[in-house]
Amino acid sequence: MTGGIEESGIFTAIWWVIATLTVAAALLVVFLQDLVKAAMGLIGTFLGIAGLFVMLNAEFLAVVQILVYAGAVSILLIFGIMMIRDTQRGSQANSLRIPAFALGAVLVGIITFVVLDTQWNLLGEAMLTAAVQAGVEEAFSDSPPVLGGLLLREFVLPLEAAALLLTATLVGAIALVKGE
Amino acid sequence: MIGLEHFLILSAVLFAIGLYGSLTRRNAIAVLMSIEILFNAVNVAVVGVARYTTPFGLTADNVDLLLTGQVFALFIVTVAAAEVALGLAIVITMYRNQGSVEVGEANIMNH
Repeated sequence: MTGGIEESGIFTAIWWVIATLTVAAALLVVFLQDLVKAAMGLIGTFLGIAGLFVMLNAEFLAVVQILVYAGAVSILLIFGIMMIRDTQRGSQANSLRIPAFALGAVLVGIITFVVLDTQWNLLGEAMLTAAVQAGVEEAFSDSPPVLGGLLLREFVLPLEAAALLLTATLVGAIALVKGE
Repeated sequence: MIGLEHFLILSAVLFAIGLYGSLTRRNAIAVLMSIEILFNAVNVAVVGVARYTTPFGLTADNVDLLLTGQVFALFIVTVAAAEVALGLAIVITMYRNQGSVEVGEANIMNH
């Protein structure tokens, strides 16, 4: 699975650019006072994560990410911001600033330690036969049919539950906003 | 060379940023936006693990299972979309009832 483009320096360079932009956009979402600008940062974060999905050979998910997040969810949030006048005067941070920062820093530290300390069972280092190797290449290069098969076989119950969840959410949201 | 560790640590950094935002923001819509960052950070981790690690007992017949992580990410996207729709409905109701979307002022259930 390794080799080819992922070994090249250009892959590394593109990864660092996308990672930096994604983190910067996420920081804008958290720190900007003007919520419309924060929503623009949120769209930037979503697009950066779609780029990361492409680098992870998950092109289908990248398209879903752009359609659902950068398209639907962000438009919904911007409508919400614009409907509520309260948001125009900005959003101050509350008194939890220092504990929350400490919590985030500790979390990143612990996760970094665990990730670097774990002996990962990597795909690139596994002893795979040629047939398995070919299957792996095929699954990642042509993922939508594989995803569809998984959704309708192994994950058919969660799929139906998700459909039910979306219906219940739709009805619930209408019932909440409609009022009496 | 970029490996699994890079993606997982990036995901942890994004998660921490989203956590900080959802704890410190006063405006309910800003909290919702921070929660979206949390969901996305988890998605990066799940898809990264699916791409770089190998399950035990991988044979040519069950190679499809490598994409389980991507299926998880699809379900997370679905749940996040439902969450933001319902969250906004609650925020709009709250704005109608008390004229404010400050999280600290949402104490109507306290009395």
